[in-house]
Amino acid sequence: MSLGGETAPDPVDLMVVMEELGEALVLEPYLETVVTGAALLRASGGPTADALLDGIVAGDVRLALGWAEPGTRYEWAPQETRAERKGEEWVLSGRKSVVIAAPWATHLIVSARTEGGVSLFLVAPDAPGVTLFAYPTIDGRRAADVEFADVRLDADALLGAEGAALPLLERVGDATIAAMGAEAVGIMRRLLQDTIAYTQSRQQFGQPISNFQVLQHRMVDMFMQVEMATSAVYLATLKLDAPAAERARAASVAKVTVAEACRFVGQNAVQLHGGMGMTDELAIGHYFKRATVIEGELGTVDHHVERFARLQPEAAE
Amino acid sequence: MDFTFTEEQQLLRDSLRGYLRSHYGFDHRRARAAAKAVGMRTRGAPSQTGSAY
Repeated sequence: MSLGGETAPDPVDLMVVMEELGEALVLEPYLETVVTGAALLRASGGPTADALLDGIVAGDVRLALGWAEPGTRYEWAPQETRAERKGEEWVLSGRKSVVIAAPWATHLIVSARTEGGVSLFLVAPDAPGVTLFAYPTIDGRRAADVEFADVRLDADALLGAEGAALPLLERVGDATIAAMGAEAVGIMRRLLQDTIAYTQSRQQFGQPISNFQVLQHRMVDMFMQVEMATSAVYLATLKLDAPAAERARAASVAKVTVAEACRFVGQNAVQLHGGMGMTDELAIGHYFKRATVIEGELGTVDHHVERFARLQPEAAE
Repeated sequence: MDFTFTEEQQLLRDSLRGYLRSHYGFDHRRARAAAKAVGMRTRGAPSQTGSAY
């Protein structure tokens, strides 16, 4: 078993795994480590990356990608974070916001501007000059805002070729959107399943509330949303090896469909549970919170609708 | 497009689902989400460290 080279996991295998992790609402940073981080390492190559890929399989390495900055919204290109070559070393400075899973990570992968464009660096979270401002997110996970104050990095901290990281980030970003969509599908299946079970057991006016047609209609609409999201995730997953624009369009379609479904299914699941949907004791509220975070993670609906429009092929003459 | 999963993928799904059902119940998940010491890095995999993060 390995995460490198020809034995890299198939995207459909990852989709299957992510769906199950979603259904069990697993907190551990599998997406950040095995999907995003491993894909970046695999593309970068080199002995450092290979050793880390082995470390992931051994369970010793957990990764977090620092890419977003206060001024970049959902674009992958960093602005403020820069790395300069000083002799044999690199000096990294700047900051990253909402680095998901950073407090859990053994290694950070950080995007930075360099002379040749956008590059990726491997940074130890406890290196001198690195400060993590850690906090819990509403879905029970952890994130951090990270500051880099003239962090000195060895030459081998550079992952892949200098200046070549932007198309790689776009590609791995789309793979992450597909995998996170699969997680969302698992979450929404569970939200729907729990809602059906609850309405069948909750009695009102002398009968289970699932007898009421209005609630049945609502649950059918939830089912349709889950099915549409599932199909969009399949398409995005199967298009991951397609040419860049085609792949990106499918990923943006999936992100929009999944986000809208997360909102509809999540909110209606809580609504149909009544007051029970708001309690900490019942799973439903926790699934709803993760679904809500996924809705905005890696780009909002507006961002991806705009990206899709930008990537439309010119209409045939 | 072919939407059928291979036998191997089905096995992967079933074994992961079984594992999570027996090892990652809702109470376990809640305890881990609520664990204090936010931002403290752990040694070893999170699954081996209980609520230490």
